[in-house]
Amino acid sequence: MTTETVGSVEASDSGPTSTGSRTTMILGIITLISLGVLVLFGLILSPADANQGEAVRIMYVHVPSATLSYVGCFLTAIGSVVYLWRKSRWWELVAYAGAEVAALFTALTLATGMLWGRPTWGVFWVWDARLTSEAMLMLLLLGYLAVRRLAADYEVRAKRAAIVGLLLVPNVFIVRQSVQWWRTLHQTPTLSLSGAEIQGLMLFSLFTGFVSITLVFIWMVIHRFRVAWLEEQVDAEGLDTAIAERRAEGLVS
Amino acid sequence: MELTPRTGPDSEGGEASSAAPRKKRRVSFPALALLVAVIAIGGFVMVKALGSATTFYRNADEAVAERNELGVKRFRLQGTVVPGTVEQTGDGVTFEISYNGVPITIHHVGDPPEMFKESEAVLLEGHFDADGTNTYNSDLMIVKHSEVYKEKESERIKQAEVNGQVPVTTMRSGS
Repeated sequence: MTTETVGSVEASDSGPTSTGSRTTMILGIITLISLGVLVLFGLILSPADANQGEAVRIMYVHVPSATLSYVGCFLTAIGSVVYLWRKSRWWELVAYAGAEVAALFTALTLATGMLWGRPTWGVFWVWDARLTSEAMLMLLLLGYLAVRRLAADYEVRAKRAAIVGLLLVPNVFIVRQSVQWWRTLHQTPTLSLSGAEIQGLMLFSLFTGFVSITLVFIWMVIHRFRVAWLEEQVDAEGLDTAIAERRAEGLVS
Repeated sequence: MELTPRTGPDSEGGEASSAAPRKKRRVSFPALALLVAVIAIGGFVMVKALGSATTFYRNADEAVAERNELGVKRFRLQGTVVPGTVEQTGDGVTFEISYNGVPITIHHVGDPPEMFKESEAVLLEGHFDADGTNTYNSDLMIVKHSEVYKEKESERIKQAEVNGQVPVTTMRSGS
């Protein structure tokens, strides 16, 4: 990318110029270390559960993944609101990055949940309210990503995607409350405002899970945002070239 | 927007600028219809699925109360395994579950899950026996586990074994 073309695009928008930076490199290293700590506590130092035995260790990834998938959905909803309100391309890309990472973490939640369900419940899957609403969330996120890719102008695609993005919040709320509202196989939350049903090293392992999965989430959202931003710049540059071509033709004829 | 490279000199600048907005409108219409259809189908599935999820299972006392209506219809049943009632049979296991003090005798065909044990809640799929009694024939058993996690006792035993040389009085007792 030459400085000439950068100037002709939107020099006023101070977006990223690369997918990497010193800050995110340090963040990446801290994230890797925290994942190491999670492995240490989750797989080695924490004890087995009285009822579930070793299978309980899946919780240290499953619960934080689910929580961060909700955070991603909220990020998408916020970005969608700001986009619809202010037509901010920056926030539209935040929404997009949030949805991509939320989809990944929702898939991770479903996968770890099934792997946990088999040894504890005895089945991989049941269509109870929690599992069904979580599957709906996965579909809605894929729907958001698909709608945003449908062939149309950027404004049209972004608007449609933003409307789907708004639906994520009620869906997250349904997933979260499903175990309270309906009879489900899935247990109610272990961590709540009234206290934790887990103690000692098991609680600490869950805490390390939250820390490291949160760091992974932040790292991924930042990088997906940068990639999306640079893709936009390339598209805009292509548009400028096309316009320049047409102008040149106009001058000739 | 149409961004393909120019091929001939016949396309004039004025024509291109008037064609662009017309094309935009044409593209968005079927796509919008598709979006509405997807949302409608998704909403329908959601209502259906969550509707049936509300009666995901019946507790033992409710099942007994509805015994006559249920007949030999298939439904999910939930209750806690009554201690001292579990017996192995040739093709499975027989035991009692209870909920709110109402017991039901279960004939389960197949191996129970690993976590199946007394005083734990189980979810069963099957139906009441055709003989009219409150006996329930199950062919799928799922163990419900709670949100409470506790350190396994054997971990503490292991610790005690490792620290076996230490006099009993100074040994830390598990909380």
